[in-house]
Amino acid sequence: MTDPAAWSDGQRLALEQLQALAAGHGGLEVLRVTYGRASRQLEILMSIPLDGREPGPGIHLRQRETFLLIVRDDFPFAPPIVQVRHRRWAGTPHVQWGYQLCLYAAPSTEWAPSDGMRGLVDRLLLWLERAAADTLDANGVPLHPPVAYTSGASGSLVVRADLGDRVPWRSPSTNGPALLVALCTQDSRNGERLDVINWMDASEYRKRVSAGGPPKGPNGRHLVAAAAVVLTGDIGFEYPHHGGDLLSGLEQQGLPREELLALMAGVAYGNVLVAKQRGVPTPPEGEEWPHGPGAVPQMVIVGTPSREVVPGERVAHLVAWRIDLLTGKLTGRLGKLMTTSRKRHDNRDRLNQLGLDWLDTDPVRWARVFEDRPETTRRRDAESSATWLGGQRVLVLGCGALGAPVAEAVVRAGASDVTVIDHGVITPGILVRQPYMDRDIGRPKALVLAERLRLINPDCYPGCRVTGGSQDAVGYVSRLPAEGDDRFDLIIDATADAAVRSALERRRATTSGTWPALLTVLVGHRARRGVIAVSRPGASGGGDDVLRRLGIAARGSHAAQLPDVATDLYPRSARTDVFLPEPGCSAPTFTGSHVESTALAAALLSAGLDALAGRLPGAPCLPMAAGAIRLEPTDDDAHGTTGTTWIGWPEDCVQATVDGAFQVRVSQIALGTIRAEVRRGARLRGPDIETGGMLLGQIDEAAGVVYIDDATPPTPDSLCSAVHFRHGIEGSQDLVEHYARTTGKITSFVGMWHTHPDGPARPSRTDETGMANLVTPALGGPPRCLMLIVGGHDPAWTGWRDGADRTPPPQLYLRVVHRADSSGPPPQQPALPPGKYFRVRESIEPHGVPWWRRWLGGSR
Amino acid sequence: MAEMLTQRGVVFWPVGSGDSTTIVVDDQTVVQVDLRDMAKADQDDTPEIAVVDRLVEALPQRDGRPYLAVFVLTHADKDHCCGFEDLLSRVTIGELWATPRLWRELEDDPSAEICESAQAFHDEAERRVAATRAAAKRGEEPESGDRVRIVGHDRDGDFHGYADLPDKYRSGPGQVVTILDGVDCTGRFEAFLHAPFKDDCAKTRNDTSVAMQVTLIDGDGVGQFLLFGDLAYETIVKIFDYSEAAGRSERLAWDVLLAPHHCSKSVMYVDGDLKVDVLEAIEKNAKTWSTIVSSSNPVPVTDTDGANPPHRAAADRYEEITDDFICTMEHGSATAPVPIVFEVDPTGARLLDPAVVEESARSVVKAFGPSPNRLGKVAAAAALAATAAYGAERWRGRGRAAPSAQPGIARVRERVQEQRGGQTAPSGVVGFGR
Repeated sequence: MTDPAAWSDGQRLALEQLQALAAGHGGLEVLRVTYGRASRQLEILMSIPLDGREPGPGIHLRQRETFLLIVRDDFPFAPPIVQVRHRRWAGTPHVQWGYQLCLYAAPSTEWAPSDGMRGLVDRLLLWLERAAADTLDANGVPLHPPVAYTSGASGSLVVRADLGDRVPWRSPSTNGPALLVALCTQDSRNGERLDVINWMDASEYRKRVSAGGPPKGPNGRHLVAAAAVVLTGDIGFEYPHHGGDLLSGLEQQGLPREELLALMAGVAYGNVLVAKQRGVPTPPEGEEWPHGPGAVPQMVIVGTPSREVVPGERVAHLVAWRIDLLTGKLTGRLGKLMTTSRKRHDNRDRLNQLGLDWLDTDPVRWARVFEDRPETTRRRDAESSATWLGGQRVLVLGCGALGAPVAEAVVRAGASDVTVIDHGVITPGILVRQPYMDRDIGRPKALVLAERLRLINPDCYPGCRVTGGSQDAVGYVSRLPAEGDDRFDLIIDATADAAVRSALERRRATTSGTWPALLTVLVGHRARRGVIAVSRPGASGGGDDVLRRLGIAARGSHAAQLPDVATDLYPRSARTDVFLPEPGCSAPTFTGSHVESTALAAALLSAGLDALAGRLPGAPCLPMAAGAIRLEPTDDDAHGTTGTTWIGWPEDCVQATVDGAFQVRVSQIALGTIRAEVRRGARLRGPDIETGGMLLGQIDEAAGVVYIDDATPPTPDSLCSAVHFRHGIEGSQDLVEHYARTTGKITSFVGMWHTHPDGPARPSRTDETGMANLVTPALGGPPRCLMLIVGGHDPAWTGWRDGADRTPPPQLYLRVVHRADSSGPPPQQPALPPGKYFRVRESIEPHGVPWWRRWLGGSR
Repeated sequence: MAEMLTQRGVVFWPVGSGDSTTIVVDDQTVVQVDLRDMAKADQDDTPEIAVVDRLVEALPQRDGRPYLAVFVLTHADKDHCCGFEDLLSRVTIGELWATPRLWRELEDDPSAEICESAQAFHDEAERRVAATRAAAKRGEEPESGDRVRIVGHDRDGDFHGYADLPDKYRSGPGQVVTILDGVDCTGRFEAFLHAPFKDDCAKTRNDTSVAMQVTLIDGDGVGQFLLFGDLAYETIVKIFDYSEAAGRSERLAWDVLLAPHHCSKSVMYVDGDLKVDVLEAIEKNAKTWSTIVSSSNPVPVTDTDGANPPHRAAADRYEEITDDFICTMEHGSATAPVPIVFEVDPTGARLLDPAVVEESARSVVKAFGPSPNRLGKVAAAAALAATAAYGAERWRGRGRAAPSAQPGIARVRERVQEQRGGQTAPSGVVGFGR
């Protein structure tokens, strides 16, 4: 035993722990301890008794077995390496190089430093038991594929395309290896890297090469090739080190050497052809192509059955044998001869033999294979709602502190097409929190972001197309197609710009067709909280609509849950502490660091995707929903509200005004009030007596939307008959003020509704005159007003009146009445037509409580 | 049952810590390597095993006398030659294989202490040297019964009594012997001689042991047996090194290795340090299904300092490099050992099921059943010898861990658990104070 003074503390501990385990009769035994000064490794030869076991179907265990433990100086923070001195277990799973046991699949979680050698021995015993019982690899459990020891210096191969049914064991008709060609892109900066984006039968490939047209990729992209052989069985668990061994291994699997050489030669020649097509200069006489023939690293991909991800569906494990330059040159020449000449047999045979000789003596170098085949890999985000984005076409509006991280997340999640739009340029100030670089200053954000996002998977199979548009988002949105938009599956509005929201809302309101899902994100003025508006595909309202609702709720129904949102995002008066980061008229923005803005961007997107994926129960499942996401409240946060708050809304009843100028969205609450009043009137005054009331909401001329948030019953002084309805004024102003107060003035008086029971929803002359009166400045009315008439013939009318909730009325008449240009006196309203009139209710309410308060607090 | 035994094979007799190995080449040709007759037990705890009596009964007859083609003495220690004088008096021994060692020993020190049997062997060897010399002078071959083969060389060979023997009666490391008592046995038997080395001639007796690879052939079947006498680490490593360097590693191949020196740790430990190279060499040359035989008393559960072989440390190391480690005194039934019998047939060497050997012994006792062949007779004789001696309960329970002991993995696990600690509270009260 060498001088323990040279060992690390950990190595001394390792030996102590092991020797403590060794004490005792017939047990573990430490046979020899050596220390390598150069390697700084402690090597412990240990013996373990394995008597008294029943033999199993797996590895054969002797009565005792010895193990070599290699303890590095970083023990116990890394497990010792365990080797055996023999090769009896070579070729069995989890024995690498034929003698190194793979005890830990994931040492970072399986190795317990505190347990040290005790844990190691325990693990080894378990390994031995399982290896003897042949249960180390259960079906479906990821297993070590045949091990080929790779070197980055031998190039790399990224496998994007599935082999699918091209593997020979899926095809009952073939019984030999499958000869294929991997069609690859070659990395422009690292020529030693190939990305397999498709597979082709070798015969088909050779046919095309012979015809002078090697296969191309999407958009006519030049593709280079690598030979590939998929075997029906293993060469051995361990791949051979010398070409000769590999060739005979392949031969045993039914692949004659000549056939392999012919395939390699064909591919080498094909690559030379492609080199000419893609303008790679042919090296001058006497010089070689860089990398390999055609300036492509020559590789032979060897596939073996392995890894049963889905039981019964073995997929191929791939390694890539890197052919050295000289052999590559030979096969290149041979390929040309074989493809172009039928005469010079002698020359060909000679070269053929030469090529085989070289292959025989080549040391086998394995290129690094990076698996990205869907059939063998599992996405790390497989369990995440982000999978909702897989294959989706996404439009991201805004490339700032919210949009840029959101767009990056979308690309990484596997979206197939991402468009980023922003008209801003990169300034020094934004580098504080937006993912751009100093060198990007002055360049358009959208273009820089798109460039960077393209690098995430430039040759990704099947690929993500990233488009950057340096243009105004409002303009972009306004030009979205009139027939709804089928270019995108998801639109994310990360501009935090009311104009963009409004433009989008207008586009939604004025086009037909089903709109894709829309996520709208924005953060508060100090980036302590953010809100996300979720509009599911086809939802009646977009981001503007949903945020409008959120504002109403924050002041009203959800004031207790959203006080911070109300203060931060829906202030009663315009904010005076607007943050203007740069001198002059720079755009006001929120204050906050990269940490807060990125955290909120990610959290908001995550919440939105959870909602879209249907993984949040309750409110977020409704067609329109809004979520408030908060960072931890700081000490200056007056509200101290924490966590996430969701509110959801059902679909509105949507109908355009008769002239098509506005889209009217009647909320279910408003419809509910109207129907309740119709039902009540029918009961009290007879089914044919008209009724009506005020409409509360907003006429948004920019968006072209009339929002009807609520409807009121008729005032007590209203008069109704079968042919006439006269809306009174008692308490109406109080009521309107109440709404303004409780919604932060979002909701106000927008018009009137009345009914035509069992009649057409069509305005009478009287109706027209009434509405004209309403917008007359002389009477103090608004410049425009919505007229809503509920009508319909029986049985539809009665069916609606007495039917289930949320059934839309049989007929709606909608029109926005504008104030006439002339500012003359209001049109003369006709006198009440004769008939039986009902006053709606008594003016004097008990206890002095106004009628509308009782209504607000009672019926709803 | 006996017809299950083929013609050719090797029998390791259960003779405690000593060697008695019988090689049956064919019905008429039997070779005995070493002998430890235990008709008169020399120690209290050793049973009486009448090896010579039984062997004599099993040998073929020639001219009315039992006939042994060759007797090989690896070295002249008592546990390898005890009873030779008895054997010699009752059996015609066609040819003796002797090493130069006894000549040197007696020449260096005429009063050297050698046992009665060794003296008898040496006297007989000298008689045969003289007879061979005389025959050679007459231009004749010596008769069967007078033949001798000197195995190995001495640096000072010229000064010894056998030095003038013609070369054909002398063999050494690197040579192959196929002629047994004048009969060419090529195609059935080969002995490749590995040792003694000339350079070791002055070392201890153990270090001058004959070492050989015995090959028995039956058609395509080959069985190879490494018999290394009582050699220790240094010489054994040399044997492997020399043959590898000479490009004849096939001479190192083995189906069966007789653990040198009755399973002594001197094979792989030098001054307490494990020598991995010798174990690697042994393992590397093993054929697919290999067996290491310890011709010894049962291997103790643990070693005690200074104890004679067998050593547990050696047995453990052998168990690590072979699938089958067996001990002559522990083989077979629980009541008595059964001789270890390997047969060589066209499929190769195979360890016989002890039950078969035991059964064949019984059928001989009853004199029923078909007449067994020579290997069967020797096996039966060895079994009888063991059974007869084995009323002795004192042999019981001296082996390795009793069958009821828990398996190795469980023992190690228990130790791991114990070392992790914290599983149990103190089982008794603990007092503190001043």
